[in-house]
Amino acid sequence: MMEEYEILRNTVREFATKEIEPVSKDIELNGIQRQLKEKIAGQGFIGATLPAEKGGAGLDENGYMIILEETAKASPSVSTWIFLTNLYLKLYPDTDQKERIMSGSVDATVDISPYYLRSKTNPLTVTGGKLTGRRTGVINGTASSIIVSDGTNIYAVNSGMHAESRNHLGLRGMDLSDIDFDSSSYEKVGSEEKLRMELKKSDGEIASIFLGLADGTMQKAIDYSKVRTAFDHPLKDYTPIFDEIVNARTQIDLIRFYLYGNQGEYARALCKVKAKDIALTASRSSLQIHGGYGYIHDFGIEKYYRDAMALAVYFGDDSWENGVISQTVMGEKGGII
Amino acid sequence: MNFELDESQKEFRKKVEEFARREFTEEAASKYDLQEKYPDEVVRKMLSEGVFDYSNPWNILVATETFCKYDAGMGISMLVPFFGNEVIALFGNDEQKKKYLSRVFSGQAKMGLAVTEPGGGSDVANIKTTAVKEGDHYILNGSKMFITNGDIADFFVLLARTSVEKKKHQGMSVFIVERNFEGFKSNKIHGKLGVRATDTAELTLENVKVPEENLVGEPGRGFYYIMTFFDISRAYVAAQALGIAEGILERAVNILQKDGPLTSQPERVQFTIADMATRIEAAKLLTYEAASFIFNFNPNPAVTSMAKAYAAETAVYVSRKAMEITGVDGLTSSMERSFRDAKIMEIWEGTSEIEKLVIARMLKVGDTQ
Ligand SMILES: Cc1cc2nc3c(=O)[nH]c(=O)nc-3n(C[C@H](O)[C@H](O)[C@H](O)COP(=O)(O)OP(=O)(O)OC[C@H]3O[C@@H](n4cnc5c(N)ncnc54)[C@H](O)[C@@H]3O)c2cc1C
Repeated sequence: MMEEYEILRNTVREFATKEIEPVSKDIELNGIQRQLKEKIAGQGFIGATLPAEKGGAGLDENGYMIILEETAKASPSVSTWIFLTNLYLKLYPDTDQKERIMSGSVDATVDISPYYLRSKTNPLTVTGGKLTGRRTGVINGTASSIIVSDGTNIYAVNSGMHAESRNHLGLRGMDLSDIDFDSSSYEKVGSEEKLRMELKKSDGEIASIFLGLADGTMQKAIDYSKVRTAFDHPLKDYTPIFDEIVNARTQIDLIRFYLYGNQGEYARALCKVKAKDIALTASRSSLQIHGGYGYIHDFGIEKYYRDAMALAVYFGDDSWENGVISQTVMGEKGGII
Repeated sequence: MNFELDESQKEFRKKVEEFARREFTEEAASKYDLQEKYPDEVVRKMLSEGVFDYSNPWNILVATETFCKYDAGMGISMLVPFFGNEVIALFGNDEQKKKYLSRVFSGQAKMGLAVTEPGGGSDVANIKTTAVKEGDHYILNGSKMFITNGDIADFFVLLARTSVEKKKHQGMSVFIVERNFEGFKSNKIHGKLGVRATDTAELTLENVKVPEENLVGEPGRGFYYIMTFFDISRAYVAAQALGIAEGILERAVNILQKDGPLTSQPERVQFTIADMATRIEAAKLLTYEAASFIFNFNPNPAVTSMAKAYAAETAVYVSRKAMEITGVDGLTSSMERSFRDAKIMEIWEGTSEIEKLVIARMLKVGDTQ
């Protein structure tokens, strides 16, 4: 089994290096290319966890996390896109758009805006054959089909969505849209509880996106510190830079070891919180080590700094995780005042 | 000891504030940010309304802080046309002051300071641009990287190597290089993370003929002139960072207060606010202390570097913590722009690492054993 994971990791890494890295700057400016989406689908990354009889790759949690982590190293946008597309398929595996989604030719996403950090979304209204209301800040909100929750149930909406993109800090490979819903073309997919449970089960996956982001940007800092010199020495030789890199890298390695070795709720919650922290820290260190170049789009470093912060807001509501952690640490509730 | 600005400075701050509130609207700030456009119109307006007063350095500091509180990109753009002027003011001759500085201060021209090169910015003594004397002029060759105002300034105060000496710091000289000198080219750099209203460019110099009279001060002293300049300008950068941090704190508190008084927030949030506010206050004291040494002609480079590094760290810390406590409200507000702007503070005019090296080198302690 370990060997299979290693093979998978190498395959995904190679794909990310060959197919994502070379277009990663363009992704930031113009969004994830349709062609890339199709290539990703061609690798079986979409529907990765669906069983073979449902047309999926039948990967387990660890295998799926490897995909998210390795793609996030090159582009956190791409990794999050894979995550949201798969979330859609997990919630709605029997959609009649399945083939098109799984071939990467159309986009489907899940509106997770009600679960962002300090979100205050208004519920949508579903009456008389109509789904109406407004959602702000939906990631990939121009997708053809979007699963939304009205607080009680979740629906896959296929038309009657007027999306307006806004400027946004991170994950610029996808738009961030405010959407007016006025749709009579939607299907009930399940209860809101189902979506919430699925997100809770996704802690390991979210951790692997953060972890990939941290490792991806840190690796670039490591490479740069070996070739850039200041005061006649490579940057890596200066103790503060060495310490910073090694600190980040050892934390990344420890979290990864723990993440893939432990599957319980506590382990996943812990990894999500820790991986978020290291993503924020590492993206700042890496930008700093790159000096002025780190601040410029063309070097492909500043995006990690933006993405880490944006992801920390999208996936940053840790109240559930803190509850899980408290049960293990305190044996009861804590940290609520 | 008095920790207050005097009445005239407070009055001045009000005037600046009034201008920033009116002109740095969200619409304007996000436009210049998005388009990466220098807000020349707004700078002209500021000059024509006489908001600005260069006569008193405290006013420049206060304006920097105040402008940056409202928007760093636009704020810095207001004051950046005379970036580097101190080099000429301190080391230039009367002729140079008259020819170049007066035009800058009257708003007729813009200037820039060109030190950093593609090969390095921290290690100033290692720059590769050369200036070779030929008759009554110098021939300059080389390139400069990340130069603020690089695409819009009329002239630059530029550091080049005039001779190879045993000690690297020696043999460097400062020149005034005009944009319209033959062989001078600038290439705008697009895609900055933040402060996108400011202009940044790469400069190339190909056999640029610079008249002898454009040499600033003595040949071979350039490195020291530039370091002296940084010991002044870093106080202003500290004020930029301080302003950014103050602006973010205000925005964050105002977002949270829509839900009721701060005391109704979880203690985790209250502690974060307290921490942000404390650091800002400390950064402010350091910044004003550094400025006060400088403005009293008794600069203390260790304190100046402390102010710059600490205020920069504070701006970045506050920008991140604010996002963590305001969540999606912050992310989708103007705080998003401030978050991107803040990071430059740890990089330009000496990275935080370089400031720490300066502090360690310049620190003076007593003889306690
Ligand atoms: C938007 C923008 C505007 C700018 N405007 C100007 C301008 O107007 N004029 C101008 O001359 N320059 C300007 N700069 C350049 C800026 O001052 C430099 O980027 C900065 O000094 C760092 O230099 P560098 O980028 O070459 O990084 P490097 O010097 O290559 O440093 C890379 C990293 O190594 C670290 N480092 C270097 N030496 C050591 C050491 N001994 N110990 C520990 N760490 C070390 C640095 O702190 C940094 O983190 C600007 C830059 C930007 C991004």
